[in-house]
Amino acid sequence: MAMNDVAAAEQADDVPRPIEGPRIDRTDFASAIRANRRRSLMICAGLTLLGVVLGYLVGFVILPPDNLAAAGAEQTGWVGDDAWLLTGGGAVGAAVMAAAGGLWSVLALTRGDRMALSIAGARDADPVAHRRLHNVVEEMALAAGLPKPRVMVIDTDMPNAFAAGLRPERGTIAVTRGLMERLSRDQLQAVVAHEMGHLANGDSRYMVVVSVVVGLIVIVASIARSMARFGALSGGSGRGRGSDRGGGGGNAALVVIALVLMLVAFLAPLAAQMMKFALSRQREYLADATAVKLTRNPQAMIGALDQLDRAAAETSRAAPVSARALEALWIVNPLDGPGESGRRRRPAGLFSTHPAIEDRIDRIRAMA
Amino acid sequence: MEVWIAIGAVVLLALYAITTYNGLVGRRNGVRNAFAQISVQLKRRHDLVPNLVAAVRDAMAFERETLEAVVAARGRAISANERATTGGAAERSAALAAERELGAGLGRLLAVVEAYPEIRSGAHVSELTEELRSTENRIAFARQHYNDSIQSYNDRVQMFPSNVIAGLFGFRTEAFFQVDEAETAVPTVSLR
Repeated sequence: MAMNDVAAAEQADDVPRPIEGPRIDRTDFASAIRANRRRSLMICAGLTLLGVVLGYLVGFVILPPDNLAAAGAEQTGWVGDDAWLLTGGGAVGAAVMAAAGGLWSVLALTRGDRMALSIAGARDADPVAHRRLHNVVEEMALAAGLPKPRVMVIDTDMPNAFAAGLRPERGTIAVTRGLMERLSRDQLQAVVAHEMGHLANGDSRYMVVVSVVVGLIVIVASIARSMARFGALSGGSGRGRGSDRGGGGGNAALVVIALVLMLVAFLAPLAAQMMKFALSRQREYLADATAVKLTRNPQAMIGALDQLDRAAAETSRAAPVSARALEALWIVNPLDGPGESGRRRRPAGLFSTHPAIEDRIDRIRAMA
Repeated sequence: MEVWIAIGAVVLLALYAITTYNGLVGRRNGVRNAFAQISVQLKRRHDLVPNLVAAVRDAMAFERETLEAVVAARGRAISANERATTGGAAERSAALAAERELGAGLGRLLAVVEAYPEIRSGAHVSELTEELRSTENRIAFARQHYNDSIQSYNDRVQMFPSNVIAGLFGFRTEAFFQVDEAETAVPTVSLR
C-alpha cells in the first residue's frame, strides 16, 4: 500500500488522478509480465487451496472419522497420536476435490478454446475478403515474434474482439464485423495487438484454469452449504456414530466445525469470484501495455478503447446471449449498459471482469 | 553426509549450467530467426513493386519520375542484398542504405497514390496500397522484434550469473539494428 501511495504521489504531475493497484512500469514490460505471472500463480494456488479446504470440510461432514468419539473429549485432534483431522472423510474430500479439479482442468485445457469460439459463432476469416485483418494480424505476430494465429470473424454489429488458445504458438484471434467497420486501420491494429498480448502473456491459459477452479468452488460450496446444515443437526442432536460414548466434547467440536463450514461455504465462492475478477482486470491492463509495446502507438489504443466503449454502450442491450458466457474474454465488457451522460456507468469494482475504460486509458497515457 | 552434500551441489551447478547454456543458445537462435524474418519481408517488398508500378503506370504518367525512382531503387536494393549475403560489413551497410532508399521511394509513391482519388479508388490499386502499407509495417515490426530479441539475448550474456556461462562458451553480444528516424515512421499519407 505504502509503495502505491509513493508511486501515486510521484505521478501526480502528469496523471490526472492517482492510479490504484499495481502499476505497470513505463517501459519495462518484461518485469510487468513477470510480476503478473507471479500474481496469477499465487491466485491460482490460493483458489486451489480454497477448493481443497472446501472439499475437506464437505468430506468431513459426510464421513466423520470413526475414532473421534472413541478418542474422548480431551483429544482435540490437533495434537497427539490420533491426529484424526487428517484421517476419515475430510482427507477423502480434499483428495476428490484435487482430482476433480485436475480432471476438469485437463478437459477445459484441451477443449476450452474451441468451445469458446463456437459459442461466440466465430468463423474463419476469408483471406481475400478480410485481407486487411489478415495483414494486421500478421504484422502483430511479427512484432511479437509469434507464428501467425488463426484469424476468425464473428458476424455481429457489436464491436469487440477476443483471443483464445492455450499456447502462444497455437492461438486464435477473433474480431467482430462491427469492430472492422468502426475502427481505423491503426485502431484495429491496436486491438489485434491487445489480443496478441493475451496470447503472448499466456492469459487465456490462466483464465481457463482459474475459471475452472472457481466453477468447482462454487459448485462444491453450494453442496457444502446443505451439508453444513445436515452436519450441524447431526452433531447437535447426537446422531453421530459415537456420540453416546464420547459425550458433549465431541458434539461441541462438531458444532464448531459445522459453523466454520457454514461460514467458509458462504464466503468461499464470493472470495473465489472476486479473485477471478481481480485477475481478469490485471490481465486487461497487461494486455493493453503489451499492445502499446508491440505497436509503439499508444494513441491508437486509446482511440480504439474509446470507440469500443461508446459502441458497447449502444449495443449492450442487443448483445448476443453468447456474449455473457464469454464476458471476461472480450477486449471490453460487452454487457455494461450506458450511464447517464451517454458514457457507460463505471463497472462495479470488485465484481467486474474489466477495469473502467477511464482507468485503462489513464494507464496507457502514463506509459506513453 | 558431506559427500552427498558435495554431490548434490555439483549436480545443481551442472543443471544450472545446462539450462543457462540452452537458454543462451535458444535466444541466439531467436536473434538469427528474427533477422531472417526481416529478409523475408524485404523480399516481399521487392516482389510487390512491379505489380504496383504496373497498376498505376498509365494513371500516373504525370508522376513518371516517382515511378522511375522506385523501380531503380528496387534494382539497386536487390543487387545490394545479393552482394551482402556473401560480403562483409561494408556490403551489409550498402544493402541497408539501398533498402532505406527504396522505402523512402515507396513512401512517396504511396502518398502520391493517396493524393489522387481516381487512382486510389481502383480496386486493384487500393488492394495494392493495402499490401504496400502492410509490407512497410511488417518490415518495421520485424526489425522491432529483431531488436527485442537482441536485447533479451544481450541481457543474458551480460547479466550475472548467466554471464559466467556465456563467457565460458564464447557467447558475444549482438549489435542493435539502427535506423534513422525517417525510416522508422510508417509512411504517412497526406494529401498535397
